[in-house]
Amino acid sequence: MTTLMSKIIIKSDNFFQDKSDNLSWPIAAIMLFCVLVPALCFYGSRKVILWESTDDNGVNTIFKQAVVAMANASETAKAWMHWDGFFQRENMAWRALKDSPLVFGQPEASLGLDNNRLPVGADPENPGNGDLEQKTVLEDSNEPLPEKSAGAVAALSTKPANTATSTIDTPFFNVAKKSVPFNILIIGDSLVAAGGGMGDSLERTLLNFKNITVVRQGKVSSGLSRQDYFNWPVLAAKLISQHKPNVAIMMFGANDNTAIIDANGKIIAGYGSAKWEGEYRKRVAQMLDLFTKANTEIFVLGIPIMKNQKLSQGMRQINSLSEQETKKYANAHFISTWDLLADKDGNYTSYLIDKDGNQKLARTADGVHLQYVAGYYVSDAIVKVMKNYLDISAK
Amino acid sequence: MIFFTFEFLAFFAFVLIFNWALKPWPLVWRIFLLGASYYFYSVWDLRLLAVLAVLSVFNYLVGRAVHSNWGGKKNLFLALGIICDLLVLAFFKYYDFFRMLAESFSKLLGFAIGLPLLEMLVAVGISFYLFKIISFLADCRSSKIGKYPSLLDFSLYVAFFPQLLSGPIARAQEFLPQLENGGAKKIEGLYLNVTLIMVGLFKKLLIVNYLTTNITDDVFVVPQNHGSLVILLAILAYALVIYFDLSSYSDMAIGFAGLLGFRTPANFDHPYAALTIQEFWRKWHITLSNWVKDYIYIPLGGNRKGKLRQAANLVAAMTAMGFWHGSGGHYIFWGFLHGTALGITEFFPKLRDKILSTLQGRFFSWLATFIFVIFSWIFFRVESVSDGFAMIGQLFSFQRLDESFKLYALLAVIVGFVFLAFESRIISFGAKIQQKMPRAAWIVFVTAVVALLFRAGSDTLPAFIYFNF
Repeated sequence: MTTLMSKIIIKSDNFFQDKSDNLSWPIAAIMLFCVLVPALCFYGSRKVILWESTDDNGVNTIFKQAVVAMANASETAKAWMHWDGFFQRENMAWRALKDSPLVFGQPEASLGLDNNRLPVGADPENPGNGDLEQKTVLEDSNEPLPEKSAGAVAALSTKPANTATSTIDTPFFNVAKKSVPFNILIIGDSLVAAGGGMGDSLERTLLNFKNITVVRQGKVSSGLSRQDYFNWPVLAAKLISQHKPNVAIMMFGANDNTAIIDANGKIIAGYGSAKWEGEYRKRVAQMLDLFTKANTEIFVLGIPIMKNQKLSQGMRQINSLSEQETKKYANAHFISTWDLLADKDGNYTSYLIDKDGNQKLARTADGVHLQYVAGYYVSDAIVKVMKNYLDISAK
Repeated sequence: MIFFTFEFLAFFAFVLIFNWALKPWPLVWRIFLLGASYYFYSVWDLRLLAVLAVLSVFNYLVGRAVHSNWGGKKNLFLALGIICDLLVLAFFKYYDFFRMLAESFSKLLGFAIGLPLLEMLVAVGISFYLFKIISFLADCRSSKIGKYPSLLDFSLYVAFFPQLLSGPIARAQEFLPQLENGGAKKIEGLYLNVTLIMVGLFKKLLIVNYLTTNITDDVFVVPQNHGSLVILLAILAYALVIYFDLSSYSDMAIGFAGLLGFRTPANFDHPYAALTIQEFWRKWHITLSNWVKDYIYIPLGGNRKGKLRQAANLVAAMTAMGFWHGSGGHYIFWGFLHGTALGITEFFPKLRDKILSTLQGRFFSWLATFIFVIFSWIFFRVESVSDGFAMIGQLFSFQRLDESFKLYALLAVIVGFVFLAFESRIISFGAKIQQKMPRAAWIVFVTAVVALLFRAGSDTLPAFIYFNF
C-alpha cells in the first residue's frame, strides 16, 4: 500500500499534465468520481433524498445512507448560505422547461387556468410537472372502440368470504343518477399509472361502456403529502380546466405515510405527529373541493391491503381519514378496496380464486401493486358502485 | 442497486479506489472484487445472494467434473449441471405458470393436485448469470476452457457486478484471463469509458424515461383509448425505448467495467441499420443472440441437416428465446415471429443476395426489416397476443387523428432516431473532445454533463426493462 501511495504521489504530476502512463488514468478516474459524487449530491440534493429514501429493503444501505447524508448536509448548507432561493427558482425553471406543450391540444393560454383559483400552497408559476403523462381524449367522441381482449377480464366471481357486501357502497335511497356522456378523469399514484395494475384495468373496463371518455393520469411515487415532489391540487386544477370531467376517480395514499411538505419544501407536519392527521385531512378536502367546485361526481378509492404489515397499518389510517373526509361531501363516494384483496380472515393474500376455482396470482412481488387479474376484479367492483350514481350501460 | 442511482455512484467510487489500490496484491484484489459484487447483489435481497453463492459453488464442482472428464462421464455431469440450472431458472421465473399448467392438466385428467402457492422473489439477474454458468459448463466439455479456474475466480466471473444484472453475457474464456496477475495495470480508453457512461445516462434518464412515462406505457396498456397517429408514435417510441433501455445498460456496464480495467463484449452494433433479419440478430443483443446460437440452435442441428430442419431449428431457438423473456403467449409469439422470418429468408438466399445487390434493393430490404422489427416489438410489449392485434387494428383504423400528444414525446423520438443514426460518431467525438481537455477541466466538464443529465431527467426511478427477464 505504501509503495502504491508513493507511486500515486510521484505520478500526480502526470495526472495534471495528462501523461497517460499506467497510473495516471486510474487516478484520473478516481479523482473524477471523488468530485462527481459529492457534486451530484450537492446540486441534486432534493432528487437524492427523493430517490434514495424510497424502495429501501433495509439491507446494506451504507452507500445509500452516505449519499442521503451528503444531500441533507447540502440542503443545510444551501439554506445557511441563503442559496435555497436560487435552487428553488432553478428547480421551477427546470419544471417549466419539462412541461411539454400539447400537439393538437388546447394551447396553454386557453386552458382557463386562473391563478386565483389555485389551491393554497400551489405554485402559480409551476402548474404541473414535466414528467406527467398527458393524453387527451376527445370529448363527445362516439367512435366505436374495440372490445377489450377476451382474457382481459378474468372475472373472479368466487370472492373471498368477506368481500363484496362490506365493500359495495349502496345508497340508502334512490339518487338521481347522472346521465351520459361522461368525461371520466382517473388520477392517482403508481397504482393508477400504467403497470400499477389498478388504473389501466379500470380505464379498460370503463371503455366498455357507452358514451364514456376516459383520461387517466398516474404519477409514480406521488401522493397528497409531498407537494414539493408533486403538487396534485395544481395539476388537478389544470386537468379540470383542460378536460372538463364530470366524473373523477382518485386514488391516493400509498406514498403518503411521510411528512406533510408544502410546495416550497417546508415540512408542515412530521408523519405520526398529532398535527399530521389534521393536515392530511386538509389535503384530501382540498382535492375534493376542487372537483366539487367543478360540479364533478367524485369516487375516492381506498388503498388496498399491503403485504408489509407496518405499511398496511399506515394505509388503514390513511383510508380511514380519506373515507371520513369523503363522507362530508354529497357528491363524493368512498370505495374501499381493502377487503376485496384480503383473504377470508382479512389478511393479505397474493392469490385470489377465479370463477373456475383456480388460484390466480393477484399481487406483484412488492406486495403493493396489483396484477391485472386483481385490477380487473377491483375495477368490476368499482364500476358496480359507480352504477349506483351514474347511468351507465355496457356497449 | 441500479447504475444510475446516486447510491451506485458512491459505491462505484469506493470500489474504484480499492480496485486500483489493491492491484499489487492479486489475491486480495480478487477477494475484494468478489466481496464488492456480492455486496452489490445483496442490496436487492440477501436470499438472492445466497442462491447466487450456492449456484456458484455447485456449478464449480460440476464444471470441474466435466472439465476433468471425471469417471469418463463428462456428458452426464454436463447434463446434470444444465438440468439443475434450468430447474432453478424455471423455479424462479415460471413456477406459477407451471403450477397453473399442472393444476389445469390434472383437472382434465379428473383429479386435482394442489401445488403450494409461492410468492416468488423477482430474481434479478438470475437468467444472465445462469447463462454464463451454462456456457462455462458447455465450454468445459468442449475443452474451450484451458486451465480450470479457482473457485474464487469462477465466482467472480459469475458475479462480476457490472455484468451481473443484465449482461452483457461474457464468456469465461474472455473474462478469466483478465484476472491473471492482478489484471489490467491501466485503464484502456478512459475517455471512451466515461463517454459510454454519459451516453448510457442520456439514453436512460432522458429518452427512455421520458418516452416510457409520457407515451409508451399508456398507449401500450390501453391502445383502444388512442388514435392512429398516437399509436404510430408510440410504436416508434417503443422501438427506441427497448433499444436505448438495454443498450444504455450495456454501455454503462462496459464503461464501469472499463474503468476497473476489464474489457466487456459489445452487445449492440447499430441493429436498426440491419438490411436483413439475420443481420438484425447479429447486431441486436449480440451476447444473448450468440448464446442462443451456440447453445440452442447449433446443438439442435443448426444448418447441418437441410433447409427445412434449419428453418425448424431457427423457429425453435427463437421461440425458446421468446419463452425465456416470459411465459406470456405474446413473448412466445414474438419469438415465433422472428424465428419464422429467419427461417423463411433462409429458403431464398439467391433472391436475398439479388435484392441486396442494388441500392434500391438494399433500401427496400432495410425498410422491410425495420418495419418487421418495430411491429414485432408490439407483441413484445403488450399484455397478450390479442392486445397486439387490437393495437395494430387501431393503428390502421385511421381514427381520432387529432388526438393530442406531448410535443416533447415527438421531439424525443426524433432526437432518439437522430442519435441512433450517429451513435458511433457521437461516442467517438465525445471521447475525442475530452481527450483534448486539461484534466481539471475534464473533471469539471464530466461532472457538469452528468449533473445536467440527472437534472433534466425524470423525477422517478424506473428500473431497466431487462431486470424482469
